[in-house]
Amino acid sequence: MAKLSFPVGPQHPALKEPENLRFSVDGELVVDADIRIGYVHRSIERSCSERNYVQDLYLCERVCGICSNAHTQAFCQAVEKIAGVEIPERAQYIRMMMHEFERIHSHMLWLGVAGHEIGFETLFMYVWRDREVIQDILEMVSGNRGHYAMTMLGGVRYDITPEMVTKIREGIAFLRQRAEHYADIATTEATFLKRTVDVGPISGARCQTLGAVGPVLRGSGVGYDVRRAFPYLKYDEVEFEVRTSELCDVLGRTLVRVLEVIDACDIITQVLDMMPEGDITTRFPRKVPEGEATARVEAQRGELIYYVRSNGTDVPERVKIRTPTLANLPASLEMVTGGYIADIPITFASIDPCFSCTDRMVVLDDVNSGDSRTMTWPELVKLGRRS
Amino acid sequence: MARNLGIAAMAMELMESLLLRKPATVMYPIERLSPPERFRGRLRYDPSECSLCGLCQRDCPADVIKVVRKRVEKEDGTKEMTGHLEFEMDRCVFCGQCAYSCNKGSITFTREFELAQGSRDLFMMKSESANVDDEECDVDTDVVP
Repeated sequence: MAKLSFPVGPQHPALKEPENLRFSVDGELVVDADIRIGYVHRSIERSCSERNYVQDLYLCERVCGICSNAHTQAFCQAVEKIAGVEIPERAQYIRMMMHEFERIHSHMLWLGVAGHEIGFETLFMYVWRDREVIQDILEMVSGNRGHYAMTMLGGVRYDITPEMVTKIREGIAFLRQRAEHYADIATTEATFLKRTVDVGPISGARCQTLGAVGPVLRGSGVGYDVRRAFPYLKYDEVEFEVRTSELCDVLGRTLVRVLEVIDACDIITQVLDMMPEGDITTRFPRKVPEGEATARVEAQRGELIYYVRSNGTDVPERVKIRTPTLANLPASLEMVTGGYIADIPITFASIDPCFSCTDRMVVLDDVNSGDSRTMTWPELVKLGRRS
Repeated sequence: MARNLGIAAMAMELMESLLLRKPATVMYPIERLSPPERFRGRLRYDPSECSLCGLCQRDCPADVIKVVRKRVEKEDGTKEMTGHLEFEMDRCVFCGQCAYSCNKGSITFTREFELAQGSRDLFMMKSESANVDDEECDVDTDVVP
């Protein structure tokens, strides 16, 4: 049979965000896949160099709606490193708690979306209903269900009150129980297994070669987690297991995420027990001294890296963001290749893609000739319209 | 047999979760959910304590706030700083940084969340005048001579 190539997107009913995927198929099998990103480029890195550090905090928070707290955490971590400021212990624990709250809400959101992608709408409904518990906790603590504005340079904005602790404990106990139930479903429910076992396979070695991160990497048996490998905040003081799965398919990635929800609940419980009394902020200078720093955190989708360079003013000279989806895209193309067309949605969904986070533009200078290039506005428009 | 019992237990659990729980949705607008205490809704500005320092303008990530300052000469020859704040509320991202930066507590966020308007003009707010005796901050703001 002759091979057929077809595009999906950038505007397509199956896509939540605009991106252009190209598939070559032989009958029902995908033989080649390619992706073109760049449709939601928002020039955030450049905009960061136009605003002061406080304004950048909110800009970075809006890189992603789902992992907004991870972005502010990484940004603050980098800037605080340059400024040589250490935040109070209580603030570190509160930041950690927010980080884990966000992991729970994101993984539960993903599980619901995965259920939807495989036609298991009941799972989608149940998971999203339970997810409201963590959303309520986030709203109670920060005032918002998303874009919490909780992490500030030099600490956190809001404290955790004793009444909140009681409610958090209740909510977390419920969510842990539900996560155990979903882990059970993921391993026993025939509908779920039929759509996930041996779907989107990729080995751990290939994941490492292609630079995959987060649950994608751990779902292929490689136990790399920034929280363990390069502990930040107080992660070296809490007990948790780096969850991995040797299944190397969509089911493996699902299990890693569900088990991470259980772990996140346990981490929050430990944090509540260990959190000392004290200040939640420390004085942070308006002008950050000259220097550069890199910070990495384990966001829900994987390793998130921020690089910040300061020139001694209150505006950063350069902010560079490496989001996990960008790292996972090459692996996702390999997962799709060789599979069925019907499995494309769940395979792509299994990396938990976020294309708004991902879009970057790089203009490379030619090292050999020494030529550097500045792109003009018409050139940028032309580049944006290229098919 | 064990499998049937398992299914029965699951069915019981389902019935409990479906029948004994209240529906998540409410009959809005007849019934309203109350936002949490820390919710950031409508912005409220109180000019009585405002020192027109401009910290809110400097830190606002969405360029919502504009501080307009004016020096006026009083009858006795002394000079007074007067001015007002302009808010373009359709741009606001409700991050609350202005309230956090304000040393005087002049900006607060209420729990009011029904903020839709029919026209963009209705989002433009100009505050009453705030008067201060001296400049308390060196932040660059629009000073009308």
